[in-house]
Amino acid sequence: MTQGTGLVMGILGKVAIIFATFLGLIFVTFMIGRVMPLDPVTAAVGPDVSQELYDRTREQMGLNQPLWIQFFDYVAAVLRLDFGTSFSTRQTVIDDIARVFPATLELALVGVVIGALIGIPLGILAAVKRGTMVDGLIRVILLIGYSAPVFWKGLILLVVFYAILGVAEGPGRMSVFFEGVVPIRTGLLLIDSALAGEWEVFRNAIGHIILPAVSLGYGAAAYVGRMTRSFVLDQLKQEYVSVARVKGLSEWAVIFHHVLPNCAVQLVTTVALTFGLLLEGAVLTETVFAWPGLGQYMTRAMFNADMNAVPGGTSVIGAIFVSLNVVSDILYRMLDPRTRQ
Amino acid sequence: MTALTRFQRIRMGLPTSSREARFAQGWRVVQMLAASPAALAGLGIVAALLLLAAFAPVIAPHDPYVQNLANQLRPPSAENLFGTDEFGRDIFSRVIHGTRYTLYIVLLVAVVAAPAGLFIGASSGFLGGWVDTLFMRITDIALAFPRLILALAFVTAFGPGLNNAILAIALTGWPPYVRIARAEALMIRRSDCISAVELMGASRLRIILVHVIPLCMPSLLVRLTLDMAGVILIAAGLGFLGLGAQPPSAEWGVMLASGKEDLLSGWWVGTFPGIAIFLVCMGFNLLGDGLRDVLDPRQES
Repeated sequence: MTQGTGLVMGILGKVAIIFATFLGLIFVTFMIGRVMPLDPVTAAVGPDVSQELYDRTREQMGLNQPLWIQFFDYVAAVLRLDFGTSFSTRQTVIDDIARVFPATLELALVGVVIGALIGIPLGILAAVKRGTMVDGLIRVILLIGYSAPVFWKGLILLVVFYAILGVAEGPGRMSVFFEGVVPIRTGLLLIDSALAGEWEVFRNAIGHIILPAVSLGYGAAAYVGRMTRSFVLDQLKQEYVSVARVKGLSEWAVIFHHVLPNCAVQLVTTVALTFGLLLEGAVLTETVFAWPGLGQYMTRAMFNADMNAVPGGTSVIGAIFVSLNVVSDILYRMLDPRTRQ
Repeated sequence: MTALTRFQRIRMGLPTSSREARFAQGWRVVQMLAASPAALAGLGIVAALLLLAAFAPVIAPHDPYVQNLANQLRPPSAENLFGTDEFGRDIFSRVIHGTRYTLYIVLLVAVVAAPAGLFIGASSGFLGGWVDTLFMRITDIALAFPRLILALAFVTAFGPGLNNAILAIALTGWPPYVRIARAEALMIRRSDCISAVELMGASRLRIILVHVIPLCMPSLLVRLTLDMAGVILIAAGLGFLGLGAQPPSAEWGVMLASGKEDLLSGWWVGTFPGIAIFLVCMGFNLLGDGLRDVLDPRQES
């Protein structure tokens, strides 16, 4: 009985924290939209307009209202899930984001897969060979991954694989002559082109996504690899590992049949959190690769002083980030029996 | 015993005064750092950063801001070690002068974010109760935001520029320090030395400032060092997007942005500032890892 109420209280507490987090997000993004140094009215209608037009636009934008009414308008816009109208595209911010977000999602997904495929094996190898040359070498490789700026890795990859070797495609999601060939269903170009059976477009899209995804994925691999190493090392200290070894199992059998299943939960949550980091990194990577995603949309909105688009984009990324945290927390609780007590 | 000189007492860890004890501790840290080649390499890189920043005008062969349009986009040569950019400026000299921007950013963020986090966290952990609950909730909320995106949004709000970028990075950087200082303060709170000063009638503020905060310093220092790499990366990212330092500053992120423009005509324009960012970040990471192993063995990775 007491355990039951404790659980309910725990869940209520969690819900309250998540709620407060979102409220904080809304408040911060609202303030950011209001204190922008550029005058949003001038940004919308241009500098040389009559006072009358200026005042009318200002009224349309709701900027003549007291701040607290503006705040309620903003909360209403967030609750309607449209975040108001962008003054540069004249569409609701959510429509804009729905249009550009799949490109970012695709990039981050491919990036996280690359990150996990590189990071997890390297992390395991480093833990098994702890203290040897191999461990040191992997440490250096991973250190390069998170010490080098993601946009610089992108520039280097472009120079080497696009300009010099010519084995990858250049900036953008696909070559110009493929634009519009594939009908948009999911917005993820790789999946859409595969569904439509347009394998030429598919290959072209792979050629375009590989460089930005690798420059993102390398950074993710650094994080995933480091965490994997410490998870595996933690497990290797446990007694069941000694038992398995005494039983005569080979070191690799111990790792794959006993240690890895016990790290699986932690690895899943780590990869989920990494995905959030990649969404962030995508903002910078997109600038380098002219990738038409959320990052480009937001940087453009920032320079245009688009006072609805910037908070909208920030809120969406923030909300995804918070949700990923919550989801990985829940996954952890569901998958790991020890946390249920 | 009396025959021991002060230097010997310090080296052997047999201090006779609190000042000697402090030196003895410092000596132990130096010895353990020296035993780790990785940490030593990190220390070397950070020391090199300090030296280059201090003597930048002496070391740089050219003026980093003087344009020479007859000498545009020259590849690396003996005259221009790292080549020249689209205005004919010497990239080697600009990279050297960039150390000053990096140092300026890193120091200011450290000076603003760390003490604020330290004070909030130490008070929160020491006082407990509703103060603790309130501060920790706010910290949880702040930690839940993606740091780069938030910094981007703050810079948009304050307006682009180096100092605004620094402020934005600092504003997004304090929560981890609160967490660390609180965890330390919670442990210290129950120790005998704190009970002793409480009995002597010390005020709470005095206990926090004079007794709790110094004991939080080691783990805070480790975190700060590791954090510097992230700060440099975000600052460079903001400069790269045109929201941090502004051209023609010899800031590495700004230089990378012009490297993006000249990507196909001059690979060297973006490559060398990138290597500089990468080396400095690696230096801070290596040094931070080394310091953690020495000062804070509990958190071994």
